[in-house]
Amino acid sequence: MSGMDRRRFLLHAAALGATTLSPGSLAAAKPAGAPFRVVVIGGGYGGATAARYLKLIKPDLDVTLVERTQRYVSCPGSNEVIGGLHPASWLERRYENLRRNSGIRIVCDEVKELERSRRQVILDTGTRLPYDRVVLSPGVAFRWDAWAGYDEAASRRIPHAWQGGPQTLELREELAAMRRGGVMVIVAPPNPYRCPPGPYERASLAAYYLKQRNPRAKILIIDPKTQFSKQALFLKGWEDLYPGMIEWVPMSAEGAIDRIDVTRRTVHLDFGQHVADVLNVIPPQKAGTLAERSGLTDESGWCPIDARHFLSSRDPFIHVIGDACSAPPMPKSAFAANTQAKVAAAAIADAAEGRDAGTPTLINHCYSFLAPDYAISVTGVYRYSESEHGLTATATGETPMDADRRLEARSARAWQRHFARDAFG
Amino acid sequence: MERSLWQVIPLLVTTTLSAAAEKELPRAEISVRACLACHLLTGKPGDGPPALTMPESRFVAAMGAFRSGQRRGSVMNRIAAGFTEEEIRDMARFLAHSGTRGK
Repeated sequence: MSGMDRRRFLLHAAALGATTLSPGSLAAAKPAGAPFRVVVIGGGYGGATAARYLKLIKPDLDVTLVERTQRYVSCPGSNEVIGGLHPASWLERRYENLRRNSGIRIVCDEVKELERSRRQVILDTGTRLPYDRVVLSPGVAFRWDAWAGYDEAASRRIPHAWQGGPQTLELREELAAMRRGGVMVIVAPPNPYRCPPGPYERASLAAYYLKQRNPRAKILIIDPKTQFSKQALFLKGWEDLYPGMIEWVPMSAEGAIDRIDVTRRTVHLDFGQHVADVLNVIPPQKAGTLAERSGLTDESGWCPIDARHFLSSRDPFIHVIGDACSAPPMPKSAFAANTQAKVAAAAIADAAEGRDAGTPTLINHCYSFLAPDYAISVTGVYRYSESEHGLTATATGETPMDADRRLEARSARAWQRHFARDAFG
Repeated sequence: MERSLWQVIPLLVTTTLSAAAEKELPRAEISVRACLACHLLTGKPGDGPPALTMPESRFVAAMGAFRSGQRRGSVMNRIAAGFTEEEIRDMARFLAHSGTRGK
């Protein structure tokens, strides 16, 4: 599709809403005055925010949130649990407030199929949810075929801990049981992936834990990249807090990852190998499986979208937000998912009323802890650019080198509490 | 206390933001929603950053000072730099509007 055709198509889709039929749609015509039905799939930060803001912006929308678990386990904050700063229960997010205060219908079920031709979400229990719009926020899936030796079966023996849940605790227990003076190896993923600073925050907080209990232990980060998020700030923090404990091995030093031997806990590189006492492999990623199964991904494995409304380039009735969508230069973070969810919610409210949404301004702001009283942050402001047909950063920045890290840590705590409420109510 | 405050906020957001945005400043509304991930719209922030609803001139002055670097606040310098002066004025106007309606 040419740029012009594509724009017209998307504007058309946005303006149509679903009170009128799109050509070729098999959905039955809706009687006038029927509620505009939105099904939000995925109850993480993106999905919860979308459901909540849909009702805040336009209370007469009919909003159903489908989430497979009763209690969501947050991935943001999971490194702090691994480092022993909080109990695992600290990561639990419940849906009680959303259910009680917002008038959202919350369904605990798995999506079996997203039947795009009929505009219905089919659940495992057989329930069919017809929709005018879907907000899809499925998070990430792992590319089990990317690194020889590390497939789904292997991940049950060697945790990735890159989704909040049982593996978070597993990794924490392995760290606690590691032999004196042992080596923890973290294999970081290639770009793009969920939470760019995450692997380095994990190394920092593992070092925080080990410095107290096992001070001769070492942490090795094997990285298929040659640079990483907040790099200078992390390197400075490691020098200040954990001198000699953390070593970063970029691809430029020992080459690409050849294979991973989970039985011998060994990572083989082109020009070297490393044996771990505790091994944590964070594999390459792609959009959540439902997105792929529903034909909403492209050859990159992520979901192409129109960043004005976070509307799928493949389906004018489906918005894809959060880690699963491709919205460069925004990073894949819970905060990005939260801000994207609000843009999608506004666009849906506008579509329900037959208006066109304004162009969005989006913000990302993420903290990383290096110790309980030492944090750093990265910030970006993004705007839709007509000429680029996508987002551009109007400002980006990190914690200044001379800034007070204690103050950043205090801000980070307040941010965590407030942000969780903005998403989950 | 915090909890009860938060149960009120969604109501304020609903009535004030959408009413104010009916005809004007839709972009400012989108920007303000992004800010709500860290800031309360009204009320006492506790240990968090200040609530957004404030006199128009104070919002413009604060954002201007962050934008120019005259006032240093680590996070807000970086965020304010991403907005034009006009956008900041629109957000201020929008917030002043929503603030009076919220009360």
